[in-house]
Amino acid sequence: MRPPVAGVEPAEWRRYLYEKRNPAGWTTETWYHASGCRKFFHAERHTVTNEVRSTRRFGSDHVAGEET
Amino acid sequence: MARARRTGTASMRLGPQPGEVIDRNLAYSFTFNGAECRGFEGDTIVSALAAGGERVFSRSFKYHRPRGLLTATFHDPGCLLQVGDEPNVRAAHRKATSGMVVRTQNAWPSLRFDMGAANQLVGRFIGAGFYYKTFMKPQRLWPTYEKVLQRFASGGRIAPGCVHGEYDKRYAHPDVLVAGGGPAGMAAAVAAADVGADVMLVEEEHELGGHLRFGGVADLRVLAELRAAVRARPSIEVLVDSAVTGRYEENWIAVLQRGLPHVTERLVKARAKALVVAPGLIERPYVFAGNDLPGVVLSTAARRLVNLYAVKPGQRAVVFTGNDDGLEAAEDLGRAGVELARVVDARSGGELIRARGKGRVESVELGDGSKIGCDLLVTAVGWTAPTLLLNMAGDTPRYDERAARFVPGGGLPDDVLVTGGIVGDGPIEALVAHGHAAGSAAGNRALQTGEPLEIPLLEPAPHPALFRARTHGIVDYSEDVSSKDLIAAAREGYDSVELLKRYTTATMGPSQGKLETINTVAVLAEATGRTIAETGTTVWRPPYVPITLGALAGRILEPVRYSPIQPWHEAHGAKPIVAGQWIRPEHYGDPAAEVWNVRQNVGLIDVTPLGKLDLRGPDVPKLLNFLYVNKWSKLDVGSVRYGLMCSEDGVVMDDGVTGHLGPDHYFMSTTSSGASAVQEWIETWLQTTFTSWRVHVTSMVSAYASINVAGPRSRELLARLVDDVDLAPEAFAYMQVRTGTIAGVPGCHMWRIGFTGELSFEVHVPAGYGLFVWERLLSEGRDLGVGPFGLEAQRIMRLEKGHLIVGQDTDGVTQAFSAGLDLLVKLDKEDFAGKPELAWEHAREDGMRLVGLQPADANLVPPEASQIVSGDNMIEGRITSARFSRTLGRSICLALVSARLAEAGTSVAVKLPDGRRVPATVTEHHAHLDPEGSRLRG
Repeated sequence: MRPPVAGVEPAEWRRYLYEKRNPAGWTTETWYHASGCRKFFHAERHTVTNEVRSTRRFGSDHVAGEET
Repeated sequence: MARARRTGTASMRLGPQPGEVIDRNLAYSFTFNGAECRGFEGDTIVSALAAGGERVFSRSFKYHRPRGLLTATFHDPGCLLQVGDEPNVRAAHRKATSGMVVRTQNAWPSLRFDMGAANQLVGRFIGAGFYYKTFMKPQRLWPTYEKVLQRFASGGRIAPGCVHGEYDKRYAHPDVLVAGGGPAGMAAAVAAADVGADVMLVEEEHELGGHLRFGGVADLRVLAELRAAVRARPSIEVLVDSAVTGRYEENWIAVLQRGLPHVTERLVKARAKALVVAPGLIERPYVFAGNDLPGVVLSTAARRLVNLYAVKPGQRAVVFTGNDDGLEAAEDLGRAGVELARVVDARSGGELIRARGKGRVESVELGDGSKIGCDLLVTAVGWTAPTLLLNMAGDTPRYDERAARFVPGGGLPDDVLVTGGIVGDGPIEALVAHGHAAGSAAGNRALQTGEPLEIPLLEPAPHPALFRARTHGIVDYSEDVSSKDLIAAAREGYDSVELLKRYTTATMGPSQGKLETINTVAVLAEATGRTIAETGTTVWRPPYVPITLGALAGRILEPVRYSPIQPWHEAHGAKPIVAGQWIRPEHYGDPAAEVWNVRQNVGLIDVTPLGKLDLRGPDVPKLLNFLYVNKWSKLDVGSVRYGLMCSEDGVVMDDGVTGHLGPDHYFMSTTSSGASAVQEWIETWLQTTFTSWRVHVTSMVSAYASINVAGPRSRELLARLVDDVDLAPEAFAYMQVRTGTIAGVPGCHMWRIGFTGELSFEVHVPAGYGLFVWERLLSEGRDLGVGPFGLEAQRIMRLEKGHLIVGQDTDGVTQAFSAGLDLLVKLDKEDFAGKPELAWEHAREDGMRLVGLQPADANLVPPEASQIVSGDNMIEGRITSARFSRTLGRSICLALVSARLAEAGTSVAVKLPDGRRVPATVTEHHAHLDPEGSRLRG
C-alpha cells in the first residue's frame, strides 16, 4: 500500500518500496495478465502448495494496490 | 608415441553380439590426438577407441593420474574429451563420426608423459580444501595461481573463432511425461497411451531400453516387445539422447534434447499433467586403493562394452561383486573370451583390498592375501538412486539400510509417480508390471478418468553395504578427492555432508555426484561413527546434466519488428542495427555526412519505433501530473511538453513529449525501448490505485509510421506537402502540435520538437501511408538537399545538443537530479511518482551528476564507459556517451561524475582502456552546440 507522500519518512517509504511480506502460506497477490488482456487482479494463493483459492478484480471502490 | 602405437594396434573388437548397436557395414575413420582410428556407425568415441586398444582417455584433475573408462556412459568422469573446437565432450556417450578430430584435454604435454603426474609425488600436500589453504595468500599472487590452475584444470580449450551452433526452444504440453526409457518407463508410456494420454517419453541414451540393452537374450526379447509396443502407439513421442534436467512447480519439466539435425541442443519446456519418474539406477564405484587405475571398470561398463559395442574390455579379469549383476557381467566376459582369473563374491565373504599397476591395473590383492595378475578389474558393489526428480517434487528419499541405497520417501504429490529400479528390484516382469500400473495411474490422473489403481509392490532387494574396502581410494573421480581427504576434512570439523562437499569439492565435478554422493556420505558416516541414514545425503539439484548456455538462451521467441518504411531502407543501403525488437537503419553509408546535411539542409529519420500512447478521458491531466516529475495541469490544446518519468524510487525511467491534441485527448511519446514498460506502468496505476480515474490508454506504436523532418529547411520541405496547417513560425511555434494532411494523407500529427537540436517536425502518419509519405518527402525536397539519416547521425546530433538517452546516460540508480534535470523536477507538486525519493535526493546534493565533458585533446574520443578517476585512482564516474562532432570539430561527451566534480570548468581525468589518463573539462551545459536553442526555435 502506497503511503501518503506528505511527510512520509524514508523508513516507511522504503518499506513500501522494498519490503514485501512473503509468507509460507496463504497470501493475497496482485497479478497482471501481461501477454493477454492486460488486466490486474487479486489472487489468494498458497505459496507452498501453489493453490489459488480466489481471484477478484480491482473494484472501483478499491483505493490502492495491496501487496503488489 | 611408440607406446601409443603398441597399445593402439591391438584390436579388441569382438565378433557379432546379439544386442550390438554398431553397424559393421558402415566403417569410418577419425583421429585421436592426431592418430587415425577406426569406428563403426553406432560407436561412441570411447567405444571406438577402446576397440582400437586405447585405455587411457584423460588425466585426473588434481594429481594428473591416468584415467580410463569407468561407466561407459554420459557420466563417465574419465572420458571428457575435446572434439574439434568443442571442449568437455562426454566421449563415452557422444557418437563418433567420420573425420572427427578428437583430442585429450588436461594432458599437457602428452597423455602418456604427463608433467602434472609429478603431483602424485607431492599428493599428500594437496589434501582436502587445498585451494582454500594453499592459494588464498598472498592475494597479489592470485593471477599467477589462476594461470597455474587453469593449465592443470580439465577445462579443454575454447577456440575463440569457433562456429556457433543454433540452439532451439520448444514448448510441449504432454498429458504424461515419462522420465526414463528403461523397461518400466516404456511400460508406463504404453499404459498411459492406452488410457488415452499423449505421452512424451524421454531417454538419456541413444536408444530406449535401459539396462535391457546390454542384457542377455531374454532381456533382448522383452526389449524388442516393449519397443514394438511403443512404436505402435503414435500418441507416444519418444525423445532419445535427451535428459530431463529438472522438474519445477506444477510439473513444469525441462528436457534437454541433443543430437537433432541442424540444432546443437534444444531445450524443451514441457508442462505435463502427470510425471512418471523412471530413471533407473546408477551403478556405484567401490572405494579402494588403485580404484582409479585404467582397467578398473564397473560391471555395467563391462557389459556395455561387450554387448553393445562388441569390445573386449581386457584379456584377464578379476570380478568383485556383491550382486547377481556382477555374475552376469562375469558370464559376458567369459563369453567374450576374457580369461576370468577370479570371481570374488562379497556375499560369501570375498574381499577386495587393492589394485596395483603403473598407469593401468596389473594385479589385484584380495582379502585372502592372494595377488592375482590381471588387466581388468570389474566391480559390482551396488546402486545409487538418482533422486533428483523426487527431490524436486518435494519427496525426501529414505535410506534403506537393507538394500544399501536410497528409495522414494513416499512424499510425492498426486501428479508425480515413480516406477522402475529406483523403486525396487525384481524380475523383469515385475518391473514392467509396476511401470504399466504407474503409467495407467498417470494417464488417469492426467485425463481425470478411471478409478484409482492398485500399483503392485516393488521392493528393493537386500544388498551388502559395500562402500569402501580396508584401503583408501578415490571417491570423487572428477575432483580427485580420496576417502582419506574426506576423513581428514571430517576431522577438521567439516562433519556435515553439505559442508564437507563444499570444502573438499567432492560431488561437485562434472558428474555432479551421480557416482560419488553415496560413497561420500558413507565415508563421512564412517569417520563420524554415524549411520548413513543419520548422515543424510546431499540434496540433488538441477540440472541433472550440464546444459549449455546456448540451450538456455535458445532462439529468442520474440517478434522482430520493422517499420513500414523498411523496404526503402533496404533498397538504399541502410546498415541495419538491432534496437530492442526493432531493426533500424544505423546509417546509409556516412553518418557524419548525414549530420552535416541535417545541420545545413534537411534530413529525414524513420522514428517509427517511438513509443506512442493515445490517452483519452477527462482525467488524463491528473494522470500526467502524477506520472511526470514536471507540471502538466495547464497544457493548452495544440501544445506539447517534454516530460520525465521516474519510478517510485526516484530513478529515471523514461522521457518523451506529450501533446494535447483535443478535448480529453492527449498523445504521449516514449522512448522506443521503454514503450511497453511505460504502458504497463500507466496501467498499473490506473488499474490498481487510481481506479476511479477515467482514462483510456491505447498503444499506437504500429498504427503510425513516424518520421522526423529535421534541419533548417524542414519547414520549407513540409510546407510543399501540407496545405491545411499553417507552418509559419508565429502560427506553429516550437513545442506545438497540429493535425492535418500530408501529401494528401489526412489524420497526420505534426509536432514541432527536436531531438537533433534543429528546427524539426516529427510527423506521425497512418502506418499504411508511411512509406508513401517518406518517398514524397524525398522527391519533393530534392532541390533542398533532403536526405535520410540514421540512428548514428541522430545520436551524434542529440549529443551535440546534450539530450540524454535514458538507459545510456542514466542507469538503474540514476535519480532525476543526478541526471541533471533539476529544473524539471517540481517538488512543490502535491504528489507524483517518486516524489519522496527525489525530495531526499535534492536535500542530499550528493551522488552522481550528468555533465557535458570535452577532452582537452579535441581529436580523442574516449570509449563509452571509460572511467573518470581521481588523483589517487578512485573511480569518480564514467563517460556515458562520446562521439566526434564534425560540426564542432572536436570530441564531445556526456559523463556521470561525482557531484563535487560537476561544476563547470572542473578538470577531470579520463582513464582509457589502455591505462592512459587524459584530461577533460566539464562544460557549462549538457549541450555542446547551441545551448540557447535558437536553431530549434527558428
